[in-house]
Amino acid sequence: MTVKISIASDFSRHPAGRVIADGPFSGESFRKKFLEPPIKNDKHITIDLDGTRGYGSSFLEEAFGGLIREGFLPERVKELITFKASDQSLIQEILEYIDDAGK
Amino acid sequence: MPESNCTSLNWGQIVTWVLVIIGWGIINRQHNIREDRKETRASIDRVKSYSYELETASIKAHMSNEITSDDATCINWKIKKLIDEIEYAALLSNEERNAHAKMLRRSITLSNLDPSSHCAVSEQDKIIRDTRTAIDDLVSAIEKTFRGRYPLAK
Repeated sequence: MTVKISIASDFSRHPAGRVIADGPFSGESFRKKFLEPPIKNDKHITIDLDGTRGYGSSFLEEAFGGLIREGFLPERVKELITFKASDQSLIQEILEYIDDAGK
Repeated sequence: MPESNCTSLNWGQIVTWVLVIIGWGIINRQHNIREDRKETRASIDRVKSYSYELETASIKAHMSNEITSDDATCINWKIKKLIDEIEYAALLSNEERNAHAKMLRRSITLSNLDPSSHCAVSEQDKIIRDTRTAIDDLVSAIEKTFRGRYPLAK
């Protein structure tokens, strides 16, 4: 079973900030609410990155690189998550954060 | 003989029409190139305007004593608007565009733009230098593409 997440529709059109103290739509908040539960249950996730008014790198790094710091393996995370974005640079950047956090 | 005159006249007309069509084709092509160049130049000017606006807002945010999540959201939006404009106008190859987009986002928004960890930095700080470099590199790449596409453009 695949969990489908649209960040713009399901989370916020204005995702910003690294940790919860930065605001309600931070990377940490997104990770805890939308990423960690399905990954813990080995569920595949499709994430649609389109429709927001931009992303900050700190949001992306904390949401996805943060998964590795929480103990998930980079290869497993990349297997379980599929990204969809008209701006391919976002996907490249996220994959780099996952790899960097695993080093 | 009259038949020959008639044939000669027809050939003359044909040559005239061929020349007219070729001339029209050349002028039309040059006109299209000029229009295309004008549109591309307008897009580049928009990208440069967005870039300098982003540079000013980013440096101001990083050097200020306090920032809010709204400031960060606004800068994220400016980056997105700039990247989208580059894509719509096809000013760079996908590979170049992605590289510049990542560099811009990282240099400006990876650190120090979140309220909980923000501190005012000086003009000489690495974040400010990286921001200026990212903007300069982007503008240079776009101008270089323009000069490559329209070699005679000034």
